[in-house]
Amino acid sequence: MASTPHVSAVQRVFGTSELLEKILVNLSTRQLFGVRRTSPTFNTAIKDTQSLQRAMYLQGLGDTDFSTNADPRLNTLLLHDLILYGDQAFGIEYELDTSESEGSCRSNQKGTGEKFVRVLKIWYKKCVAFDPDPTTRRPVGGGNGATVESWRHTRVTQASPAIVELWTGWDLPGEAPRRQATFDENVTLGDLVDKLLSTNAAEPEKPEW
Amino acid sequence: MASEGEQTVKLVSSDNVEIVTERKVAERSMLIKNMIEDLGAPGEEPIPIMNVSEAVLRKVLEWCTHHKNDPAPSQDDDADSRKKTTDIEDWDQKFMQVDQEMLFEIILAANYMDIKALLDVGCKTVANMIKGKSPEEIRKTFNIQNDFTPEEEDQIRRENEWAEDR
Repeated sequence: MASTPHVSAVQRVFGTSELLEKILVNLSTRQLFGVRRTSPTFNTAIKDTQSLQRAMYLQGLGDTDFSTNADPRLNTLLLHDLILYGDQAFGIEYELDTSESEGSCRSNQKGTGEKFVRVLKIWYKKCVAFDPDPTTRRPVGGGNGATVESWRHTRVTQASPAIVELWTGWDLPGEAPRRQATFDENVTLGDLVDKLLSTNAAEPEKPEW
Repeated sequence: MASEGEQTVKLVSSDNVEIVTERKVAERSMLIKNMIEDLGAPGEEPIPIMNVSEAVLRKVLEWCTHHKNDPAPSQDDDADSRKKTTDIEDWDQKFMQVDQEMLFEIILAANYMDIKALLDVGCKTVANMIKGKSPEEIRKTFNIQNDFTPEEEDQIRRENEWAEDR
């Protein structure tokens, strides 16, 4: 009778989806994307596990009650890079839906919109082949056979509805130096970056890269 | 009759070695706790721990002994599966300084014996070994075979290259 090949404990743990999930859920959002290439087992676990998809901002949080949750979820890829490259004060304001619970409005740290724009653009530059002209910009969304880079699919926020204000950081004729866009939980970081960059045409002075 | 705190139970490992331990220690395992409740006569009937060898069982019981007075886990501890902290207390860090096969055997045993806190520590230890490593380094560390076709791997690399750069 043929003997059963030895399966190591490492193989048994990584081969058990619940255990692999328990390990991977401890990784940062960014690293969850980065480790997909380790093996088909890792890749499948990351793609098919709800808790990991939520940790990667690829899924919402279902029926989480954000009116009482003290930690509204803003995409950590965004926060991480803002904090990494800029000051901790940044021009993004994050609010909960206050329609039912007045006073629960909550905002994260504020700063100058200029910093936010600059930092987000640096982040964007690191992530994609940057082309400031939207008519010729490489279709990172996947058109013309280009790769759809995975960060684009991540959600800006998992609170729904939420308001994210984009501050342009410069005056626009007849307008306040900020733009407000209301994003629901389905709006992606790709949408946000595209929207922010679409304001570039009005920018009088381009910040240094 | 001995009080519950003084009672002992007999456990039998998968390699048929009998180990006597305090009931309180053994009951860190929900599997054993439920078996004791079902059997009704702790200490008399040996409890088989089918999937765990003597060496691993002794190691698991060492952890259970150190943590025997910890408060029972609450439902809330299970609720937030997105907890990202990989902080491990000093004693547990030292406890987990074993060879890789033993570390993963402990994880399997904790899962089988339903010891959530030990399972968490084991999984966090492995997560800490993954942190900061490239896919190539992770494969090398854990001897994982790369079963992707070159095309598949290239596609995933292009989609996620931004996440690997630091």
